[in-house]
Amino acid sequence: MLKDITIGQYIPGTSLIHRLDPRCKILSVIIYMIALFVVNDTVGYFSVLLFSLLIILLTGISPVYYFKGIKALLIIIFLTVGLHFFMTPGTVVAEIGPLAITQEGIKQGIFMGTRLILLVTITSVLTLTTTPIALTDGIELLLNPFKRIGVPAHELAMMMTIALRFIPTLVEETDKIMKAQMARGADFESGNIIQRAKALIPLLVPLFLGAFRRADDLAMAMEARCYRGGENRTRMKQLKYSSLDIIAMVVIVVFLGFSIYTRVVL
Amino acid sequence: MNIKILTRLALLSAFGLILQMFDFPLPFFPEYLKYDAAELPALIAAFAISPWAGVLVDFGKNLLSLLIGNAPSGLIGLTANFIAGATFSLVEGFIYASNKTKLRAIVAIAAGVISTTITMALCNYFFLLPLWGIPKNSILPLMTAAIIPFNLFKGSVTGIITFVLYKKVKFFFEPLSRSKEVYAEK
Repeated sequence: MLKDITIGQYIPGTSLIHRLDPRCKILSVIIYMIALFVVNDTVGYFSVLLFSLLIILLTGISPVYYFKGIKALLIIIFLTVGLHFFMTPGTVVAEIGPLAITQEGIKQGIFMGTRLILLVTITSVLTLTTTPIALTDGIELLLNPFKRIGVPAHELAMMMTIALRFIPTLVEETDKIMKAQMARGADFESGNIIQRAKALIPLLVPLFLGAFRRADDLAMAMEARCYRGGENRTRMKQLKYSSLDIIAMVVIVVFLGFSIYTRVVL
Repeated sequence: MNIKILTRLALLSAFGLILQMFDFPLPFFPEYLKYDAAELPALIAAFAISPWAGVLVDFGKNLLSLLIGNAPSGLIGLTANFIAGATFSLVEGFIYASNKTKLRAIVAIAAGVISTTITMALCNYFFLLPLWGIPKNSILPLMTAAIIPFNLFKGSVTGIITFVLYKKVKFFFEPLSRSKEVYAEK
């Protein structure tokens, strides 16, 4: 069960999107999401859809990977679309028993469904084209200005880097302890929720203690190498904005402007 | 921040992420509301280190799922998850911090469950469900039928596990000299 877990989705590539600076990508995703929530009519949704398709084409990654992301969300998408189809008052198109499908409902349902799918897809674009470590760096640099108001930007990035490095180790350890406890007769797979929760205790205690022990070992190793936080530290890989990033930012801001235009003017 | 605390919080976040992968659907609830014990590390951190440490662990866990693309419900789901976990950790941590007794721990967990349920109900009503695009007239039935009981249930189960687990791992957080001795004995 645990062996199936894949850590990270990154697919290596040299496309335009791959080459963008992670900071630029994170900001663009935020602006894109604002645009997605701004649009509210056919022209608006259509333009967002086209723009998204263009981005997907630019990444050069097979659409199969994007469908995987959407598949996980299929139920809630159906729920939303269905609720809109049946619950919106308006001109009745068809009736199934006591339920009536309205014209407005169909329109609203399709809009909301599109919004959800695009919301998931744009997150996939980010994680498919950027390594977790690059994203962490990007987040740290973006959060740096907020250090003054007490946002622990460097500590957070350090935590993420350490956590990413230890996820595979912890997965392996979890697997090992599960097998060890199963050999002693523990049962994790059956029973009701209370029994399952109870069965977790003999698994969790050694896992927690193992994690703390690793953490303390790591802390000692870091202290021994005089690690003392973010100040004056240099980086092996410096992030630099290129002209590509400036173009991307201009494009996305123009796109946001267009979305606002479709809502306010059209 | 102390390096030892930093590394421990990092490992707890990673651990939260792994726990998130052990999710299972519950009977009577829609399939997108699944139970997992992912708040556990954050709650332990809130008890053992400080309430804000719990918040940081929970934030770290959600950020990690975003980074590695393990977030089936996307950004909205992560935000919801973080609000729930942060409320639980803060309430629980602050109540327990002033007087660290067994009774206080139980009160803290109960208060945490109740406040999380209330916060999640409010957040869902005012912005999470509308963000999902659920129409206004079906929000209320969805809340009373699924979201409030789900949060109450999830909080209680996680709370009980936290209580049992905390007793068994808290020696690790006691002053260093003592914890080393106990650790050596085990």
